[in-house]
Amino acid sequence: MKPAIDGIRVREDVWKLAPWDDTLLWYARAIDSMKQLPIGDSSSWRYQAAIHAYLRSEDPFSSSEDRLPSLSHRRRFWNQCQHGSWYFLPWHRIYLGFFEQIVRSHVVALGGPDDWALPYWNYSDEENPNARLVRPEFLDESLPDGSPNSLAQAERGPTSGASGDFGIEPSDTDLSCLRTVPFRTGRFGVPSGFGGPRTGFQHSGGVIGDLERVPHGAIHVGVGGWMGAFETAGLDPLFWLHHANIDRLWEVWLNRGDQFQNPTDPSWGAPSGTEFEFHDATGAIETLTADQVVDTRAPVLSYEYEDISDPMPTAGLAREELIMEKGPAMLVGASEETVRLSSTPTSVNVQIDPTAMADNRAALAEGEPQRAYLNMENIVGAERVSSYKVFVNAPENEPEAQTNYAGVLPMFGLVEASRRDDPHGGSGLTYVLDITDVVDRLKQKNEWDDKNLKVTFVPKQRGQAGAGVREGARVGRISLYYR
Amino acid sequence: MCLLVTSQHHHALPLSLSSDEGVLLATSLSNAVGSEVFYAQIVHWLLMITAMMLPLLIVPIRQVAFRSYRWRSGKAVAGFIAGYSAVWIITGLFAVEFLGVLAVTGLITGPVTGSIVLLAAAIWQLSPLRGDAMRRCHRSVALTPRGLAADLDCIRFGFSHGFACVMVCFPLMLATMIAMPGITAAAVLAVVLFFERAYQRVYRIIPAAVLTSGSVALALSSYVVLH
Repeated sequence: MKPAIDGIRVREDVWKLAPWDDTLLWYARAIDSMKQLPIGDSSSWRYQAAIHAYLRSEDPFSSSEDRLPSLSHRRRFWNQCQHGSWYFLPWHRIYLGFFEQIVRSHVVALGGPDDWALPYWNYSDEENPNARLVRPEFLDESLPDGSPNSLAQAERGPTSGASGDFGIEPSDTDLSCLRTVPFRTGRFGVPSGFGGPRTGFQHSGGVIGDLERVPHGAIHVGVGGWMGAFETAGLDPLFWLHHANIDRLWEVWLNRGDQFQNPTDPSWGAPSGTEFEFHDATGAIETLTADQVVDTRAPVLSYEYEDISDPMPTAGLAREELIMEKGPAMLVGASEETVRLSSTPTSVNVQIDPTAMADNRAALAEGEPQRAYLNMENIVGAERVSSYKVFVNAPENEPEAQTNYAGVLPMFGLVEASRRDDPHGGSGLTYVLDITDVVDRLKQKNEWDDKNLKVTFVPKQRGQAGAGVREGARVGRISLYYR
Repeated sequence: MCLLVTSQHHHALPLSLSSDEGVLLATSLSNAVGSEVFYAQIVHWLLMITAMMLPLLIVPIRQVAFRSYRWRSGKAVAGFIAGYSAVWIITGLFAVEFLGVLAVTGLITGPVTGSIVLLAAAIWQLSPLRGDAMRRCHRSVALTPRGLAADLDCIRFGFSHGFACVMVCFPLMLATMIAMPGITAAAVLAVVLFFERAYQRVYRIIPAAVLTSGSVALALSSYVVLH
């Protein structure tokens, strides 16, 4: 465990820690301590998870002896997680900051170090062959002294024995999101940027941002179990290491070059941006806005990451096609009916409209490159489902050909976004994949047709045990946009 | 823009009917259908809805336009507006009838009635049913890309959006028209509704507080008059 320097604590790579390093040992003891507190106490384990989301029917610890906070308190402080929004990153940063402060207060009360900091799980580390595995400390039933290990006390998806292999694949940990510029967009048909679309307070809904889709959503669904749902994710000790890594990737992105910038809109931060309220370790209410947490060394946060070096320096250029000054994308093709996904690959034909294609060609300036975006609109479902890999014009005999690979749809938050009491009335999830490179590859191989494309959804069939493949998800419409 | 009614008791009401016209509408709406007054009321009603609701429709109209092929986006938006307007026209017929009855029977002649309807509107404002409708106002839908099915999808989306809008806004509009008739109150209500829609988490409570304050103020004025 690295000591703090000038009050700035260091968040370390969990895979670089020694077995049962103090960071992990004290984390386990603090969780035990937090679990002793009632759910109504803002420093308790269950309260902290409920800040992200709470649904009593989904609470694995629910008991008749629970004394939940008042309804107005719950409305103000619980179910606050921000998804499909440009607040996804700052809100989770604040959330983790106060969680870390609360864990540390428990660590100190137990006689531990006062510079304890959350570790992060760098599952994308290509130099570490174990990066995609869960550390043994999160699987062992007991601590080195033989006492129960709270780090392992979580329901997760099926593993291959005790190896920590939850079946997380390279496609789940892909860092292509780091190439996306800008931070946010607000246009129909195009990806919503690195950090998510411009919104107000948004529990769910909106086009999922590139970082939020992969690796964020893919890891949630990949680990499965409690991690696979808004309401239970925070109950798994891994959740906090996962989000520390997502928070770190924000720093990595900003560190890549001048064009990688946070939003400058006044409505993102103070004075007109949304304010977020949390309890600190003393139980006092703290109110923060996004712009107050852009610097992790700010007094309210006081941490930095062990490593924010660029993991893909040779592919370092940003994708510049999302620059907001360009015009809106144009719909050129769409599926005619709702598409039901299942436990086997599902292929759908998307007819391209010749008039729309002509309109798009007329709108393009001379020599201007054309970008292609595949939209999966209004995906709804009543059950947790596995992630789906998407392929374009995949051959019948090779549905998962790499040439045809477009991206992953993690489906994290599907059930939440499909409920009628969702802020968007159950509109579901919408994903947008930039398939320009795929289209170019297919054109080179003479496998692209300007009249029709075939989209294939291949389920990864993981995640929460037994879930996802009974009812499946329904995609409202698959559409192709050009710009 | 607000419509004004003058009842037999010469109270300014939100629909521009003379007392005779009020009687006409209150007695039998079917008699009024086809009359100049009837059409005038509907036109005025639609003008008011346009002024109040258009700012709230920017998001769904953009959605319908950009989720349609450019060559049919105008038609798609027209379909959405047709479905949306149909709900408000039906609601307008009800409003004309209802206010006409109140005008004739003299039930909206005092601050006590105003106080009660404002309080009722405040309660509705915080009800789960209205919250559900508000969430449906933020709904997006997948549209069939072309053909009759595409047209019907747009009309259906407009209709369901209009229905949610009526659930959210109409009780407040009706209460305001009864208790505080006049263009100023209507304009204030339009602004409040806009901000509530845009920032539903922050401003949800504000309209309820405004309505409750109005209710209390009218009740107090009534008490002062009586004593």
